[in-house]
Amino acid sequence: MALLELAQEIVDEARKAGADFADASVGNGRHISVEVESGSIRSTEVSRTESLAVRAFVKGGRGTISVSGIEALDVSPSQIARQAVEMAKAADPDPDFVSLPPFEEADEVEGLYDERLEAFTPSEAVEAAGRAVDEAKAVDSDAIVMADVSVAAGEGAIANSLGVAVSRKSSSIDHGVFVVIRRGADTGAFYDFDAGRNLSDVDLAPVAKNAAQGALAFLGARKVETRPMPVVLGPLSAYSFIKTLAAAANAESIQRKRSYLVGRLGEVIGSRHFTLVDNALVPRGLSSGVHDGEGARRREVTIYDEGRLANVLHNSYTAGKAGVPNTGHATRGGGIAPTNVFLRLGDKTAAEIISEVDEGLYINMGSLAIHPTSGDISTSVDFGYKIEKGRLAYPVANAMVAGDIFGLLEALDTVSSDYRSEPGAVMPTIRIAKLDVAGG
Amino acid sequence: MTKRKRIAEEAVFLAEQRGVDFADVRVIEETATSALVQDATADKVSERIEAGVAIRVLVDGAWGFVSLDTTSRRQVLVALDEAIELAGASKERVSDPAVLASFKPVVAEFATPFGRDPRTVGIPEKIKAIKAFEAAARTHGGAAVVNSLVSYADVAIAETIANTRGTLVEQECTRAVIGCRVAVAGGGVTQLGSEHRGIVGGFEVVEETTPEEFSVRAVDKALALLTAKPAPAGSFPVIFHPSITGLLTHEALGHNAEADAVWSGQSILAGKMGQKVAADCVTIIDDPTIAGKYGYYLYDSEGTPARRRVIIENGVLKEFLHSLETAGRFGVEPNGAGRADGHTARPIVRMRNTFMAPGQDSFEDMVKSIDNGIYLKDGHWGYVFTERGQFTCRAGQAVMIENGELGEPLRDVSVAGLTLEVLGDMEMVGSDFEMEMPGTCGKGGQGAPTDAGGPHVKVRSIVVGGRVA
Repeated sequence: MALLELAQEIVDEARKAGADFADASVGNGRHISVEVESGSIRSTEVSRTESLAVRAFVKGGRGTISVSGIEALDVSPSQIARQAVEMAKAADPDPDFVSLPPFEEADEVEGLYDERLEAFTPSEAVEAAGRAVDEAKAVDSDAIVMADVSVAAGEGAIANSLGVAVSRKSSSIDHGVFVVIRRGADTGAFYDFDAGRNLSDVDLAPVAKNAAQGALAFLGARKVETRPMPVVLGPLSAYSFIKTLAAAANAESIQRKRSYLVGRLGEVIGSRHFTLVDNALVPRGLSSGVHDGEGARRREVTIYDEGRLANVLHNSYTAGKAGVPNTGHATRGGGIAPTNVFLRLGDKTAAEIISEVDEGLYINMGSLAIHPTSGDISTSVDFGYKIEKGRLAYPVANAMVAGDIFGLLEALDTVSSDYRSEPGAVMPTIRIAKLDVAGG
Repeated sequence: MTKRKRIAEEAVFLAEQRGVDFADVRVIEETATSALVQDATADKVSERIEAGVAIRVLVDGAWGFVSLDTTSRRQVLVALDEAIELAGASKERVSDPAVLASFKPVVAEFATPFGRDPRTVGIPEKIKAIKAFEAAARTHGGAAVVNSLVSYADVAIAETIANTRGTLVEQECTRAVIGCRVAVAGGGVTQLGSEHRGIVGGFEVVEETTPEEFSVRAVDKALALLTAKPAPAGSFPVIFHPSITGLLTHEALGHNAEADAVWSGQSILAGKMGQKVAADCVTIIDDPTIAGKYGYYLYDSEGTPARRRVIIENGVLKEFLHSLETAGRFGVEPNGAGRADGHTARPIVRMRNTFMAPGQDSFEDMVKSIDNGIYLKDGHWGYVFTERGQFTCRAGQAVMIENGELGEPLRDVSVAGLTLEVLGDMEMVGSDFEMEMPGTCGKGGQGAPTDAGGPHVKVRSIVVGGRVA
């Protein structure tokens, strides 16, 4: 039976069993993974997955059943549907639940499935992983190389009791390389990656070379003194940070009053340099999709507009509860998550931004962990450099930064004009005029 | 004979016929339920059912691994051939061929005990129980509580492991957890407090827990943070609560003692076996055999019997954690640390219950010995970069220590250190002991149930990620 037909059958069975609303998702796929440890292939793996999940709603109470290996379990789709309804009846009614999303026509988003990745062979993945070792060793013959190549392709279908019935294929390829270089007691390490939904969107060759060169550059790390100073987030760190900010614009957390953004919608809480947009409709984007995890049509959302919290991200539950349009940010598990996020670019290059800093800290990788409720920040600098007299002076060891999200967003004084680009991701450099740095 | 055993034995038999150097097969069935109460409403109930097979083969030093979400005989046989092809496809790029330790085949059956089988407890009873915890939180916190959430989850896993050396282990494990998260607001500040309990066992995790030691405690943590000041920034002498000691032993030391990291050059402990790597007062152990603890098991995912592993004894590095493969590389006996996260993952070297052994010192003497420092408690999470030994731990609460006395409460804060520096800087180890950090440790994309703990410990200096005065 086709995936979509199976999903629709389960929804029909759930309705017959007494569900007010129901949805079902069915998927299958193949995942190839090759792992390299210390320059040698450690494992070559293939996973074949078959999954099914049904949600039934009775008076707003939700029962969910997820199954993999249905063939082995001697249960029928109708049994699963009926069991989900029984669970929904056991749950409390929730008057805040309004409806699952209705079906909405939507334009396709191009480039989310590549048949070349479905046909990709484990041997090709082994070869790509092996080349990463060669590339890293060409930079430094003592390089200790960890790498992975991961290729996934599959099909998923979602149906619900309001007429949603969508089915699509998707694919992805990821390549990551971590290189360690030792010089006596000194250790340098760095990571780089490439990822895409299409084979033609990735260039695997430079990844290992970049990681090895980065590892060399991290030799000779020093401790720093404790004092406030400007902090510059490089492209990878800045992207992790803005993704965290977008994730915090979660309507469920705000409605439940456990977010630092409670009562802030419409307020200016950041500098005018801060405009942040979530857009799942970008062709070929890593986090792109026409419909969200509930089958709702996805929409572009401006989260922050020149420092003002303009919108938050919704699924069908939170949108219904608030009486606002659904932005289409549901995860399949019932949560809310951002997709591709974009920061409006500034007019200085990253090099110019760094050159203006007399003494500061540059963070290459890793987000600034923001407490989701208090907004406090206290986090390690895993890969960073000290900036002295406008230049990256030396790598730092064992440094930390601290502050709070509101002070940080006010102090965000520059976004670069140049950026690292990945499918569906623009990663500029950003500068925070002052953050507390701890070291010693 | 169970269906799992029949599939595993047939696949292993056919693997032998195909002439592989080694193969193991795991057939796993898993059922799980969960329920959530939030703001007085239990509106979300879930169940998860899984079954699948993992096939791993070793041919000429190269591994091939295939997992399936099915136990169909036909597909298992196809997967066996595919795994052999994968090993063949990778061997040209295997410069460090896998070698397995010699071991005696293990034939065993084992089921973890429980007080009350969670599969026999209906959803209404589970909901009623966690509603009582959630109601107690709201009553205790009063108007300050803006969001309260209590969750319950259990899982029952049946696993059959067979290999071409004659091992056949059939085991079952049940595990149950409860969690509470409460947000309180006051004075323009919102703060979060949390508590969790997790055991290898059953529904007794609910029945043997009182609201006072669980959801009420989460409220008290959150309320205390409302008026707490930010921690100061810089290097300070600190006292670790046992939960922070547990985080440190797991993150800073434990991951570095996993033999796969050592062999691949990613551990700071490489080449240090038998050497002094910590202060004399430091003894660190990983022990999966402690019944009921969240990391409890008697056979790992390769069928190797588990045993207590003394990693550091009186400051000297004594033992790494091993799978069959790393034990073969190091030429030692396997010690049962090869664990896989279900049928979709291959076994890798993992910790379970990791802790520091108690010493001789009292908490009071530790406090008296510090003029200007910080008491870190309520361990939340941590991570480490093993190649540098640079780790981070998050404390949910802290207290200033001034002139030998506990002072004002501080907000949650992260601390960072370099493993070998911090292990050498341990000056006092308490005579107390607590191991209540059930959680899931991530490594290589896999999760593993773990616990961690120890006594109170005083450390000469660590970097505190607080605010500059």
